[in-house]
Amino acid sequence: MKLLRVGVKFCGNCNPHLDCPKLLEKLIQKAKDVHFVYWFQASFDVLLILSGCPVDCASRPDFNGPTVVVSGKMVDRVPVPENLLLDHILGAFERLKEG
Amino acid sequence: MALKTGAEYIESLKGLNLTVYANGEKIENIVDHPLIRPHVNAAAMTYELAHDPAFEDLMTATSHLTGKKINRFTHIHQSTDDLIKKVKMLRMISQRTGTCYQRCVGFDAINALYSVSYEMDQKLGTDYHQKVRRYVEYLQENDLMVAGSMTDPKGDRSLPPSKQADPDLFVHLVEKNDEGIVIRGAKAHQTGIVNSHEMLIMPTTALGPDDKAYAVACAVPTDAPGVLHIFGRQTNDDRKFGEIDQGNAKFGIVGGEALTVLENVFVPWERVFMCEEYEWAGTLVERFASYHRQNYGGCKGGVSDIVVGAAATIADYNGTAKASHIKDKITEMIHLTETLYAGSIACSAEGRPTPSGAYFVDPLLANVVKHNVTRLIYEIDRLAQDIAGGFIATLPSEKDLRHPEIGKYVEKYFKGVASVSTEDRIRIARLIENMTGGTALVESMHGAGSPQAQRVSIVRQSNLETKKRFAKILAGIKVD
Repeated sequence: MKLLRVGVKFCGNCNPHLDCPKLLEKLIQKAKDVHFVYWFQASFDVLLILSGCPVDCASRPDFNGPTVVVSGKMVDRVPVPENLLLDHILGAFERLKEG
Repeated sequence: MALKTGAEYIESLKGLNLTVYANGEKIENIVDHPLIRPHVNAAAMTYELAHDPAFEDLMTATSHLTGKKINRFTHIHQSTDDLIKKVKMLRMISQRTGTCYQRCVGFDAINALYSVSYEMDQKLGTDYHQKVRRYVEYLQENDLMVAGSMTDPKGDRSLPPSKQADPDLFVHLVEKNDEGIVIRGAKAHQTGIVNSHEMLIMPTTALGPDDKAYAVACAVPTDAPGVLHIFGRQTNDDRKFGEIDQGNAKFGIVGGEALTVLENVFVPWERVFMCEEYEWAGTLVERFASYHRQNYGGCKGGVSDIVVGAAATIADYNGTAKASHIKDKITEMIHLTETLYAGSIACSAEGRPTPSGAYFVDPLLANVVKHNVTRLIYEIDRLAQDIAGGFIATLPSEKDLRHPEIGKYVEKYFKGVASVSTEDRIRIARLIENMTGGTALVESMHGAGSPQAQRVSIVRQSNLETKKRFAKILAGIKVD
């Protein structure tokens, strides 16, 4: 099974409605078929933007592929209960893998 | 080395040959001195956070001079987004330090000089801007901390520099020669200067032809021959030799200010950015002041986040959190904090390019932000003290808490709700006490200029005649 390589970019966390570094830790633990890198470390298949609040001011690196955006308690602008955030993000990865 | 770590920054300070006095003694090791170390720790956060992927979007930028990734504190703003990110960065760092981390002053000084030197060169045919660019590149490449050195001691406030009884009450030119210039005087309230690598000297006020010797802008290493720093006292600074009683033992209270004496200091021409062009002093002062006043809804917003959090926590510990008046006071504190922040974001979003290409804040809104800080911080802090209760001012010392005989009484009689330890209640009380009084409040009043300085700027930029015209039209008064 090919690992999905996800590049992570944080917003800077001046108004963290969500603890984004902790969310990433949980994603790493749960998503066994995903390899996470920071956006500046290596190439990646999917860009994951982790913004701590709905403003979502994280600047976007040059990348033309698919992007999943978490902004506060929203995934791709859809409000998600906090306890389901992980599942929604992983679901977005799955859909991207399926193509 | 484009991005120093916090440890590398602290190590770099050990290599400086600073002359620092505090409390009547010469300080040989500023890094480990209890009066200074908390301010070093706070400044180190501006370095350390730049290496954390969670914060790098705010803490770093791409240099327009070299294309390299640099610490944002050495960046020249290239867009309104840069101006907004500056404010967000300041709030974020304040949330982690609860105090001033000092590095914004030099950040604002390089941005002010960058654009003003360009305009000077266009008008006068001088070559200051290229020198400023090279200096900024040097700062970026070495990730240096710069103290923004504007405020002169001023002496008799009713007199211009050239009419003072003592000519040294404003920094001035003593000599010009083939190699450079010699300056003398002093700079007051120098935030973070004893733990900075460089100081960027600027005039403190608009100047006339009689004052041209005072129109000096230049860069000087903080350990240059002839430079001497006298570290200022703060409220309760004897407590820096303990822990709990300080409130914020790791990062301290405000920036750690000093009086910096310049006793015939030589500056080579490469580091001179203004020399006798008195017509430009006012422009430089206004530009620096506006950038610096922009900051306060960011940094004080973040500091107030801590005060709000501390007030809500002490309410929990006191068992008063559910009282409606407590909830209302917390709500008011949040409202005031976000009011400050809104002003900083607004003056950044309304920023504009200068002829140099660097972006400048909206000066009217920037002055409004800082003017609000001179009032609203007092109200935020007053509410925090109201919520906390009088015991924050009457608590026994940490030594009494730890005392083998009387410690049990401190434990017993300063207990709040049963589920919280007395020590934790005392810790949060001390944090509130130290963050809401004394030096911390005065800094909100006078840092980045006293209230009257902002009022002068506000009315100057208020477009009052247009407002009068609008009123006359609605009132049916004929207007031209």
